[in-house]
Amino acid sequence: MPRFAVLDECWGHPDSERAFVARTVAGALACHGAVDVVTPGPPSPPQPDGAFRLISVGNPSAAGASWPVVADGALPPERYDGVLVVGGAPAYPAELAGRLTTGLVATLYVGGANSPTGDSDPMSSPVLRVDGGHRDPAHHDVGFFVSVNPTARTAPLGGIGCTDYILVLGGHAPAPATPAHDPARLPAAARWLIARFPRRFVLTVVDGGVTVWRDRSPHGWFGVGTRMDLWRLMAFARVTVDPLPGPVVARECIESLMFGTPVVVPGVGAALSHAAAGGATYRHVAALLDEVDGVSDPVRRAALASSGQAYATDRYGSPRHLVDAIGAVFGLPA
Amino acid sequence: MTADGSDGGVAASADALAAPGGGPTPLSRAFTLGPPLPELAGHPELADAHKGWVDVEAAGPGGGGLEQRVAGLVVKILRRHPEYRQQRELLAQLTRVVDALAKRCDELERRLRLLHDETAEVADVLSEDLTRLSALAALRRDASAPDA
Repeated sequence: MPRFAVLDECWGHPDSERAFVARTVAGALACHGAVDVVTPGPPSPPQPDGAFRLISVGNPSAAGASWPVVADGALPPERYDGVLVVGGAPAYPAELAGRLTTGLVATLYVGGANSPTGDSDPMSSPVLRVDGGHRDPAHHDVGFFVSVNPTARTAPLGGIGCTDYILVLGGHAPAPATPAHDPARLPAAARWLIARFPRRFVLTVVDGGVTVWRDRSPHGWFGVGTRMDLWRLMAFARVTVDPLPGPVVARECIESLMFGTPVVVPGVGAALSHAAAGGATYRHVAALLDEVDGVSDPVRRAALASSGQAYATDRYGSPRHLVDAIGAVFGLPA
Repeated sequence: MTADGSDGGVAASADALAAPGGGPTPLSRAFTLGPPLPELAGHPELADAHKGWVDVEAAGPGGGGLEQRVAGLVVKILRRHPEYRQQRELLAQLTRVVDALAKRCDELERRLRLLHDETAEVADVLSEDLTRLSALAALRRDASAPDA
């Protein structure tokens, strides 16, 4: 069985879309062989982590460095058939990758400054690309896979008492340890929408909880404990507004489209193509309010729901496509 | 738009819209009257009061026994007493007053709900219009800024 190593300096970060992307791609690679994840951290014996074996190779030795200078003893003795480096320049651990394999070293670009285009816009990479490494310098657009549980459509989230609402996601700031309702933590977009649409239900998801707003006032707060809770909220929304979509794939936008709920997002970054297929974009507050109003029109909403769902399902609904694409980069049979 | 009368100090850009805080300030408490109160007219306690008054006005104890005939006679005599009649009249009046107050409470409840609905509509329309205007003003302000 082939063995692969995945080098990732941010593995397992709970609030990071980058970490989610790395884990998903590593999972696709694990369909072809055993995968060890090599990451900075206190040296310890290899730990099981789902389908992977997690190997911490020490803390960064210099200030500002992402990777340590790794002693031979900290690395597993075997050599891998291939290495996938998550992130790329400027913290690219080329020397470490070279010591782990004599085979292919591929780089998984996750947008931002690490984009193969060199674009410094932190939200400029709408798709995942894998640089084939030394043997194959061509870039491979491997796409991505996002899954939702379709049974979320069967019932709305208990307690909220409404459907057909405007759902506003609160961004990706680290949430407090205890879920809480604090209007000061609402993104400005949510506050504008609450004020602009007082006669409609507006639901804001912030800090592990959802607040129901109507008449510009809070009518209840409920915890959102699982991804299924979030999917239920998306499935019964009129529109999902994500003021700060994920920088790599804008996961929540894809999930919303998979439920047939149009998205309204800023007109930059990874979410741009999602909105083009099933939603609208804004660059300023007046456009945000107009687009949410426009998307609420039943005829337009139905058209966007249909086109967005088809786009999300075709492009992100196939795990096989991602598995085969990653395998093709490493020259593995489908 | 905010408690301090400013527009929240926000720029209109997408970046600013993603940041916490800023924007119009939402109300801190739910704008609601809660569930409607049950109508007092026909309320069981009010019905009991009416029934009690009817019982008082009903004929006194009767029957064939000597003791009951004597009791009935005493009640008849007492009912002719001016003070007793005055108290009966007062009791009837109180019953009517309670009835009228119940109707008034029900009417006040209806008017309060109507007022709440009308206030909500006015507040909602104002909020919609002011928010639209504020958004346009923020856009114009950003467009006319030196670095725009």
